[in-house]
Amino acid sequence: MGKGLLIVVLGMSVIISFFILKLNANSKENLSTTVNMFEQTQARLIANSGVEVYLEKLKQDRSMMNRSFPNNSLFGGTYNISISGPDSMVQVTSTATFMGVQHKTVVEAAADKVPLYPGPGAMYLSSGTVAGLKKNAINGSIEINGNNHDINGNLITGAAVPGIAVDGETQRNSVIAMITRNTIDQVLGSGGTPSVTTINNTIDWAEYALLVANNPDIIIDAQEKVRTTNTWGTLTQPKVTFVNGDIKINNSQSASGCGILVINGSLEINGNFNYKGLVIAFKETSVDIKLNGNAQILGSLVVAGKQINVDVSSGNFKAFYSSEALNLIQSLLVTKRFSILSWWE
Amino acid sequence: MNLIMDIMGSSLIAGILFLLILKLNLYSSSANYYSDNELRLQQNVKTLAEVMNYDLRKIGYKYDGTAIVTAEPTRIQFYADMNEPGTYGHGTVDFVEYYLGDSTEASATANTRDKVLYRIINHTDTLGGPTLGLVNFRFSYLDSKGTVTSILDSIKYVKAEFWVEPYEHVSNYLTNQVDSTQFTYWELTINPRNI
Repeated sequence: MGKGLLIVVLGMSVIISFFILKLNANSKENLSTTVNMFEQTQARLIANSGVEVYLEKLKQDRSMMNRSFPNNSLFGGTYNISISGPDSMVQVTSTATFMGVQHKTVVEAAADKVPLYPGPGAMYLSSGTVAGLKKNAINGSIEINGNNHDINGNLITGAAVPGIAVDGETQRNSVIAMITRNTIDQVLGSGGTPSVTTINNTIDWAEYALLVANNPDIIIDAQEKVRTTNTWGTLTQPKVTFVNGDIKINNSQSASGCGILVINGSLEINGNFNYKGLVIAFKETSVDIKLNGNAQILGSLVVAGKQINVDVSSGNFKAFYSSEALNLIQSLLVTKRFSILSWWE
Repeated sequence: MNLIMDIMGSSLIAGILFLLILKLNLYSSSANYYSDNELRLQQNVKTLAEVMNYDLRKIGYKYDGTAIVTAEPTRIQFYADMNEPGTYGHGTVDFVEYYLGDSTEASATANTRDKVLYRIINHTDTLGGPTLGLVNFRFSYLDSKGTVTSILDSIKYVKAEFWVEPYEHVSNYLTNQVDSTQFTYWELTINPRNI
């Protein structure tokens, strides 16, 4: 009897064990079905993040072009990156692996060109800037010329623009009064002499300056970054330079450059300064040019900040309009930003 | 007399044990069946989710213009290059359509409510496939703020919801009634990057 019961109990235990094992197997399989979906999602997210990470890195370092970067770790998985192409068609392939699940993302992107708005005159003063003008804001040996110049500053044929462009008649009268008071007779360009003309400005220069400053090639945000000789772009490689903060170029230093120069803060120039392209001063900018040397801006100077003071004690200051300089930077200037053309995931 | 009592007692116990084993067997069969069905449901719904996830993420890939042509609750039509870069067919924009058939098209299954989801590429390549127990399907279209929209240009997210039931009816082992409560619901909201 005892043996019989033992056999029955053991038999039932075996049957129940098989039954539980079967249910467990189903439950495990069910879980792995859901987990696999999670793994696929995670692998896709890692691959996508890899693309974003490397496009960001590529913005900073163009030498990464046409190279591969294997075995990067992210979120518990890994991803391999390969980058190829010219600036106009960069292809980034990211292959991610998470818990044995692979995902491939292929993205095509193009380096964004900064849109270029040529300044409306050799110098443009916004209403806000004119309102903040001091009596002797522009004083000394100064030439502001809206006639067209070549890249070297020589007069050439072509449509002239105002020497100083302003937003309204009130501003025009203020500027004329100021330059008359300071006997500045070299404000040349369209509309007679002095060439101070009201224009219909449709560009939000502050917004444009922000757009440009968002992706600068060169950032000068500390005095230590100003060296004895500073090159902020060349004719063959124009740059976007962002001067942010209170920066001074003293009389033992010099700066030259080509591209777009955005200034937010206070830029005081005592040394030599030579820039080809577009200079935009905006927001809280107070441009102080206290010259003991020579300063030349070839292209256009847009002042949409708080104030501008040009005080030339020795040397001279020239702001010449140059369509050649503006066209050059329009054709050559690229930012490091990428716009996505297509995204395969 | 004692012997007769022993035999009767042991027969009774053996009978009870036999009934217990029989009941256990019935229960285990039913539970197994239920569990298998649940697993199949989960696998079917995952298969559907994978297919939708793969295709809907391609909306607008390599296509300039308004990629989504039709945006209805049970039908979507869109343009996309469906072939992976570097593979045969890549570079040609495809016209993709998804729509839900009706329950009469899936007559081979015992479930009278299941339907076939059709996937058509370039108007010709129709892929119906098995029903996978799909009984209902719904697309919703959302703009960049997550608000439902019917303006094709404004669509930034496509939400797909599907309800899947077993092919066969599952009877409750106690009541022997058809257990219609077994179903799986899955939803996914996709942000196609090319629109």
